[in-house]
Amino acid sequence: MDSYWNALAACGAQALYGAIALAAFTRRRDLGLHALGFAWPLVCWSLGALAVGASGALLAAFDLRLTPTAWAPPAVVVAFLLGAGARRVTSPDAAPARTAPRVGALWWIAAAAWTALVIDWIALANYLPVFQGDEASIWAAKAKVLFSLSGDPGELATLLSSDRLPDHRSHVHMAAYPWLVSLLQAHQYAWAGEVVHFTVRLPAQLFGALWPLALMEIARRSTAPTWWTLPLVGALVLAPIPLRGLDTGQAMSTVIAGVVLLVFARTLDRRWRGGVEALALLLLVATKPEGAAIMAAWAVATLAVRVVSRPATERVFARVFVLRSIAVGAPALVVFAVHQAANLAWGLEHHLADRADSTSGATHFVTAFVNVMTRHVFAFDATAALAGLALVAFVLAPARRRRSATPLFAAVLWLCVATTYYLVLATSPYPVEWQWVTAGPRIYAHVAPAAVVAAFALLAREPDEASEPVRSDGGA
Amino acid sequence: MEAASPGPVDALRRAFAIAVAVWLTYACVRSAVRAYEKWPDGSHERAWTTSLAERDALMLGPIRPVLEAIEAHTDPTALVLAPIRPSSTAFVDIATHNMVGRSRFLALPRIVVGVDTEVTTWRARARDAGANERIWVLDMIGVTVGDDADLVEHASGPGWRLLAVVREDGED
Repeated sequence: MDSYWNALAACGAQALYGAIALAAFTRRRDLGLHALGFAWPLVCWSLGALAVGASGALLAAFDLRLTPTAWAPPAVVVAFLLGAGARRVTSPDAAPARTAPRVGALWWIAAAAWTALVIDWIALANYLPVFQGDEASIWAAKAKVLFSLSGDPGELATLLSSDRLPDHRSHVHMAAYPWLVSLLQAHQYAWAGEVVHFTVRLPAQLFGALWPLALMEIARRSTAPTWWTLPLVGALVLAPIPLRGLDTGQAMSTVIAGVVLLVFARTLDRRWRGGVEALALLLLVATKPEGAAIMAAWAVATLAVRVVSRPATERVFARVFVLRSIAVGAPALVVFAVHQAANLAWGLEHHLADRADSTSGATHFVTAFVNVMTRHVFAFDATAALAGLALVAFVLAPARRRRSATPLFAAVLWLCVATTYYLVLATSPYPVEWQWVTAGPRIYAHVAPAAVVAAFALLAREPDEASEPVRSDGGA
Repeated sequence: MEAASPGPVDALRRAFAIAVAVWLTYACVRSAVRAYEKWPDGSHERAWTTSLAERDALMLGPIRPVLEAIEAHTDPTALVLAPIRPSSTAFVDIATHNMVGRSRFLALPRIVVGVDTEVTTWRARARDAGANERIWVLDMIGVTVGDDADLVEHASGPGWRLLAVVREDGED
């Protein structure tokens, strides 16, 4: 029977795993609450999700039945290892960051209002069971297969790779996608003891509730005035597409969360920056194929910051920088490689690679570019224009502010991810307009928070004119 | 230092920022209103006062007995063929309460496949499915009425029947 108590128990377990990981990561009595601020719930939830996902994958790999009692012990161990491992990761960016956030009642009011709104929104969204779209046919479908067939050796691989009938797609559509959200849903099923239809979205919906709080924390740490940063954050979190991430398009919330965590890591003390970056990259590659593109963009953005901010006596590719960069990305690379190996073993291919490109041509590039500009960068009839305005703000910012680490990182990240998405959609074997309507709004929502943070540069104050103590490296 | 000596350029920057901030504040409110308008009247009240059991009855409605029948009679690896009309362009286009589309997704991992109604075609699909598959037919459009050779009914309800396909070796 579908019950909120089962769902809350599963979510409570996930939060507990996250707290265990944070205890190992921060080694502080407050579990890093003071240092992470509004971003604490997202970091905790992400660590818990990774612990649930990794331990669930282990149970599935050993053909063990998915039950709460079987799931909890490996999840606790994985959570501890995640936290302890993250503590040992050092960010390649050596710049110090003083991370005292601005104390502003407006931010607390905004956070409280957002929390009330999303609780109401989640209650609304759970009014409808999801039975179509990617959520149903990819994530929920995989979760149902995984849960129902757990403990039954061989069936999972057989079902995933089998188009049961000629000319019909596998019933687990896009079987080659990463597994994190499916494993989170299977965790809900495990606590309910059966496949349920209403509460199963909670673990992914909560990502949609928590990443805006983390974005608010980034804004609080900016030296730009609240009257400038608050509308940017507000417009983004209330924009139709991200808000819909709380109901049917939930899987994009985890990707947005990863992007926000990557940017948030820039504002952290350097002791924790690398660990949060590694966590964000793990979250991204375990969630969607786009995670690999964002990881590549992270590498370019990190390099851009390095080029601009390194000490004059150091080479760009100094040994320490290269080794630390590899250390941050290594866990995500391992997960990516394991996932690709499993797909190879099961004979699964990404849907964009499984048929010849017979229709696309030069016009695809033009059409896709027009789509990017008019629908996602400068769509003035909607808050989607936020990205374009934010990037204009970044360009108009004083040169010194553009070169500071956080806005520069955010701007390069946005540019690289947006360009990659553009190239993928422009070379897609599917009709470009259909592809754009289907995927464009979702994937361009992924990187919109990066544009917002880049925009903080416009009015960021110089350290010597700020009334508060000097803050993070970029002031944004 | 640049910021220490505000000039006309800084004034322009600030004017741009103010214009954007004002527009975005307006856009925030507009987006929130639009987001709420997309829900049907009364759904907010129902969101807080309707139990999950009541939601189950309300939203699954005619689908629930179909799902229960599929779950009770078929195993998770079963293949359930659900014939649909040729005019349907997608599973969810079915006029009868989206039953095929919904049951396809909600009954997973059992596969519920929509095929066209030509008898030779859907029977051929059943034959092509593999010798070791356990095949079922979820008939929600009456395609098996008067044509139930090799079919054994296991469950039925208003407007639907769940039938097992009997193999030549006698197993269903």
